[in-house]
Amino acid sequence: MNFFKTKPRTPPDIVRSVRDTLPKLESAPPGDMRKRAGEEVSKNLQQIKAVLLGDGDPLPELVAQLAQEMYSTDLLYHLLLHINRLEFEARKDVVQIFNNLLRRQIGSRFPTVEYLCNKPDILFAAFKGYENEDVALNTGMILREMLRHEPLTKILLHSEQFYNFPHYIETTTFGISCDAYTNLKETLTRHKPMVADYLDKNYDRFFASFTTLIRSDNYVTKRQSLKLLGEILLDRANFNVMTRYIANEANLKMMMNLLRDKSKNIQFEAFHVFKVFVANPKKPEQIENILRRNKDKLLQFLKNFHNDKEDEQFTDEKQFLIMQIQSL
Amino acid sequence: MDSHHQDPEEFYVKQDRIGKGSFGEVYKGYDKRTQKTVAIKIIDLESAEDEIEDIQQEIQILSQLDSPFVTKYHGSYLKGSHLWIVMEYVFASVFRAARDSSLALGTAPAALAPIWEEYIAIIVRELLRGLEYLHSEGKLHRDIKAANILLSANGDVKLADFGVSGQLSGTLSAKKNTFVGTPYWMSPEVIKQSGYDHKADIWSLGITAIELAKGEPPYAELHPMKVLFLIPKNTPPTLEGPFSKSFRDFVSYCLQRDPRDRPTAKDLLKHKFVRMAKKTNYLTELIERHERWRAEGGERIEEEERQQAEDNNSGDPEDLWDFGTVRNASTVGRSKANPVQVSGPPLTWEMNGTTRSDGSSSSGSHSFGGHSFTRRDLSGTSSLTAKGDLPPLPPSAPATPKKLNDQTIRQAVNGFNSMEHADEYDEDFEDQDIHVRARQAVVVDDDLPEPDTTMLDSVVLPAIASLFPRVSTQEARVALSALQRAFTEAERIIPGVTLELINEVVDSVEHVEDDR
Repeated sequence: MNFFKTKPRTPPDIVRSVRDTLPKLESAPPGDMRKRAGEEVSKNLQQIKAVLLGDGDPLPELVAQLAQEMYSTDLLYHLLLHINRLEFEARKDVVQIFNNLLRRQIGSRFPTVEYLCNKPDILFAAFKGYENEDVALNTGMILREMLRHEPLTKILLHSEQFYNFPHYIETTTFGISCDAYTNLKETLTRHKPMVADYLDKNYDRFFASFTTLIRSDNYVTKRQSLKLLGEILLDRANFNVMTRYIANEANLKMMMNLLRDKSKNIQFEAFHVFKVFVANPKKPEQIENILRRNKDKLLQFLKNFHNDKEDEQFTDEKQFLIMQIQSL
Repeated sequence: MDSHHQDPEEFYVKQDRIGKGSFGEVYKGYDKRTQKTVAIKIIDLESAEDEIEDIQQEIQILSQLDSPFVTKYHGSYLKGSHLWIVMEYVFASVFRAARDSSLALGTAPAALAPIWEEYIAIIVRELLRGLEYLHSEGKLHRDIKAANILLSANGDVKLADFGVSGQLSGTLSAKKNTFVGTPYWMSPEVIKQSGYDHKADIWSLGITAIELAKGEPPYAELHPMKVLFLIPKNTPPTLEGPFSKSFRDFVSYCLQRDPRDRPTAKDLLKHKFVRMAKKTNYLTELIERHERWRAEGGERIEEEERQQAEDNNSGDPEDLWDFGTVRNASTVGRSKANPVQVSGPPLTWEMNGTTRSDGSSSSGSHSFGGHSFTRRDLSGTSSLTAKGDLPPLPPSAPATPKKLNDQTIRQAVNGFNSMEHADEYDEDFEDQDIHVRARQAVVVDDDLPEPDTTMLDSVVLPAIASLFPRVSTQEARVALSALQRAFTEAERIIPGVTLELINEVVDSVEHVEDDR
């Protein structure tokens, strides 16, 4: 009998090994024991990755076994819970494993997406990654991959947690803040009809929250959220939302003030929202009143607005606005 | 976490400015919490041409890199519309350290090659390790050149300037079909935009090896637009000159036209040239020399050069590609603490601050045939030899007063507008072609009407240089380089004097023999 001969480990063996070792990253006494647990996990994650990537040609049967075991042990959830305790490269492996599984397709089905729909905690765990700056960019990537799938985006959008976005965007350092903003944008622009429906039904709450971003003191937040607002309003799917938005006096006033922001870029983004108010052929009375009261000032202002831009479309649009205002 | 924690000045202290580019500035600084030195690149997002999303994407890439062969990203912070990107601070660019220590040695030319070759082998090996890491991560560098290789105080070699700075300076784009990099180092497939992969970095590595050996990449004397045309057209450059067979062999492996023929970084690490390389701490000699050179006042001269370069630049703002290393006058005399060279974040902003100044460079390229003569001329004006060159070239080098054009494509295209000298290039285009080969041959044209300086370049200086390996103390090396400098200086003032001197010596030796 050969005691030294090791049986080749099956994918489920590897998964279980990671699952069993993960808690030790926290519970093992600091020092050697914990370090060894970390190395153990790193090694096994590499093996999981190897099964998934399979040298460019993964074996579907092994992948299926692996995925099945990962679902049944809730390994994805536990990986996210402990990701901040993993080594640098292991964190990246976790991202790759997530992304790979999320793209896994059987016919028209995405088994991992289906699994995650039943385990929304995993999605929220990824979202919560923004609270830890050491791993925020890793979890941000995982979240981004999840948001490619409409059912998952829908879960996030309809959750209470969704309204943590402004907090994450406002309180983190540049790189992370931008990442959170990118995911907010993904949530709001990728699956348009679903989002349009949400915005329509949750108009007040959503825009109350979104306006805090536009009013932010943070240069990047302000600039980027204005840009995103323009994108949302100009999307045909959001026609109802746009109509409501441009009927509101407070919104128009905010844009007119932003046209005079000290940052040229912010002025420019504000212009692309402001133009929708003016171009509206059926301007509500309160909107038309404001524009008419400021007619001369606006004409004067627009005449000198960003004349150095060599953007034909912008020049045309500006000309159009001037004509519209003149005819008031 | 509340928002004031985003203020970078809570964590970092910004000190001397060490670099400047069209989109921002680089400062040396330190982390208040650890006292560690850092490099801080500051970009005004309000005036940056890139979209914030692009900058963010590059930061994302940087944040996922962790290798001793790559400059480490520490974080990015916003202050008003100014973005601070904090990176590991690295002593100096290999190129500058090498060039400066070459100046420290005097102008020892060709025969110094064996010494440089040892350094180069180490640098190349470390560079390959960096590339091996990047490529295994599925990332390309896309702007490999000596200026983007940094040298730490203990001789560690680090790759810098991928992603962020490139992207930020508008040179790199995320797509693999785009035209990125710096012309002289670009591979044929990148120029042709026919799609490329990590093998493009291998080509640039080969060009960089030539650059380290010769002081400049092939075609350096030509306008970058011309080069974009020549690289895909001509047979790949080779390394000529007094270098070992394994070095030349290594370079030719890298510089194969078909990317599929080029080995991977991993393969190249097994190449003899690299396997025989010494430990990295051997590179600290470069740094020591560099320091000594600065201590001896080299920096003052650089300062003058820079001043000169700035004067040259002041004319045309479109031509501001100088990205010149900003040397801070106030740091003179604090040499240890302030290795003033651009380092850290990488950038395209290296070099000696000189830009192509049209007049001098075109006259340089017209000097075909008058090579060594030209160089001598040059050294006269800058009081130390050809700037921008590291191991000065073998005698026949035309060594145009050229200042390396490190501008990137977008800028090169701008430069196209200012091509009043385009005609000149066309005119001597055929010449240039030959010119490039001629400069690599160590043959000297005897028909030159100019005083013959061959004796200095091919006999005396190499002879002195060959003594370097035989002496053991630093003092002795300094003495030898002083001797070389003295010869060079004498030759400059009295062209042909070395030949005369040697004739005298030979004569007297013969007389002695006769007398016996």
